[in-house]
Amino acid sequence: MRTAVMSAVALALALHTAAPVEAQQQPNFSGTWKLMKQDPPTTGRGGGRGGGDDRGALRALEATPVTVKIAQSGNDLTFESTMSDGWVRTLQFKLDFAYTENPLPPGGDGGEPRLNGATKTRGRWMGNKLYLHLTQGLGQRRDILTLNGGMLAIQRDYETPGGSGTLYLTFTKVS
Amino acid sequence: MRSWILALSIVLGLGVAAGPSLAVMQGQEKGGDDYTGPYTVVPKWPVPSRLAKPGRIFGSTSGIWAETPNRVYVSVRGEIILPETVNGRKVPPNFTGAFGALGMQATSQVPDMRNCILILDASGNIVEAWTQWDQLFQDGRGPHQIIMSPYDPERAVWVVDDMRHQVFKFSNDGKKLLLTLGESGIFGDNDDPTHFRRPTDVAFLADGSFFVSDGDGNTRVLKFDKNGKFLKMWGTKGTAPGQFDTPHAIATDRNGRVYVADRSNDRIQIFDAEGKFLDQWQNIRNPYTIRVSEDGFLWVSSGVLNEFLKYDLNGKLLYHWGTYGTAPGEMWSVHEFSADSDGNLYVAEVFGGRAQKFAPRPGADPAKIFRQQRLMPKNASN
Repeated sequence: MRTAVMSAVALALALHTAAPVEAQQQPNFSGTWKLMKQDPPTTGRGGGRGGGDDRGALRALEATPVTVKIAQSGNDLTFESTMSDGWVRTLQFKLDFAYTENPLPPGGDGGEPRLNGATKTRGRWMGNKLYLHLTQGLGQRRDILTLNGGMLAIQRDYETPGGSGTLYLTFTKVS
Repeated sequence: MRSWILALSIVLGLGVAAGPSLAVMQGQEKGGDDYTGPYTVVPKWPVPSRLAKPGRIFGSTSGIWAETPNRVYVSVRGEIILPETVNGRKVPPNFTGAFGALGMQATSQVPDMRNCILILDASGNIVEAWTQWDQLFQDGRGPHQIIMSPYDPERAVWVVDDMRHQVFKFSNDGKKLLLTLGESGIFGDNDDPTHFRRPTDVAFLADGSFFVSDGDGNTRVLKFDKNGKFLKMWGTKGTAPGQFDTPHAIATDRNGRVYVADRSNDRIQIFDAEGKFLDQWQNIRNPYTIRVSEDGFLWVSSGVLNEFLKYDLNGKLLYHWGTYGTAPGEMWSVHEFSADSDGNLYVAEVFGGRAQKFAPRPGADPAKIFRQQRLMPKNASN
């Protein structure tokens, strides 16, 4: 009887310990994802290349992709965004929080000179959420990636000298 | 007889009415529009400098703090490119004026973070440049405010960097970085006590605890103990009492009340030291900076009015002055102001891209002069 109780306690302890580990398991976001929902709806890059004012700066950073293609392997992640006008931007991330410098493709500043310059990126895990940070000129963006019931959720926060905002994006996996 | 008395009354009446006016007129300069209030602008302060790299010019001037008349700290958001022409007119390559004088905001470029913290003497000469700390501001847009606690005998220098989301405390001589709050380049949400989102200003209590307004991204005030340990925070986004929309500056009075410039809500909110809402003063357009004076008044610089406004601590507007412009004595968005023990006023213009010094006019009404809270005597060891 005593052995049975001890075994039960040991099992309970093991399960108790294992549960958080499983909850904290880092997901793999690899795949091609299609945008299903955007909240709030905006007129991002998909709707135009932006202007030279602060709204242009916001548009450049809040740019909402219609599809994203993610390749994640170990410490490396490639995040390729395709906008509704066909414009593609590819960013590389190291997930140990080391910086990667990415070239700025034509049009990447949204017409805002203060967003002109190379893009520095870095990523890190916070539990099972992946934080992808981006600095470009005087603009910054933070994407928080989670998997939720097979859907990819991205909370996209951005900062520019003229303003800040948050977008909630939901994607479904297509391949 | 009646008409004689009437005539005499008129003469006496005129005498009473005209006497003081005539007396004033005799000692008064003629003309003038008083656009610098009770001050006159000090010419060539700062002394034109060639410190910037060739082809560049000092950018946005974000902060200013007068420790003494001979030690004035200026925070500059780096150097920006001097254009070759403006509106078809050639700009002299040795131009040492302010960027705003070219008709463009000094915040319109990505700056090169050099010479971000300068110290000027009474004549406007740059006597120190804390270039050893320039790297702290890389990839951001430079310091947002520079300030000292009136209660600190060590006279530590506090610098807020909004775009890198950090608050720094330096030793008075600039040799040591004593405290860093926040993580460089990483912003946090409104419920995250360890990360700011574009903090804007710092204010102090006599026990060494301090408040940070946070900020241009978040909508809250955080309180820390004297060692930088987080104590509490309050505020959410909105327009109700206790909510904020761009808390852009913060100040304390000698009774421990906390004043917050709720910039995009066009108001000042007042709290006790524990964050309990006490009052709000509305319809104050775009309060950029607020400071409580030694004599117990709240002074505001309005970024859109380009005026200084003086309020009593019940919120009654008592006096205002100031004019938009880029000529000497005019102002383009004062982002921080300070005064030395002689009553000289210093302003940092975020769009004008310059610092200016104003001296009280001889015989100026003392009630119209901003008196900065007196600093504790400096420790002899410093």
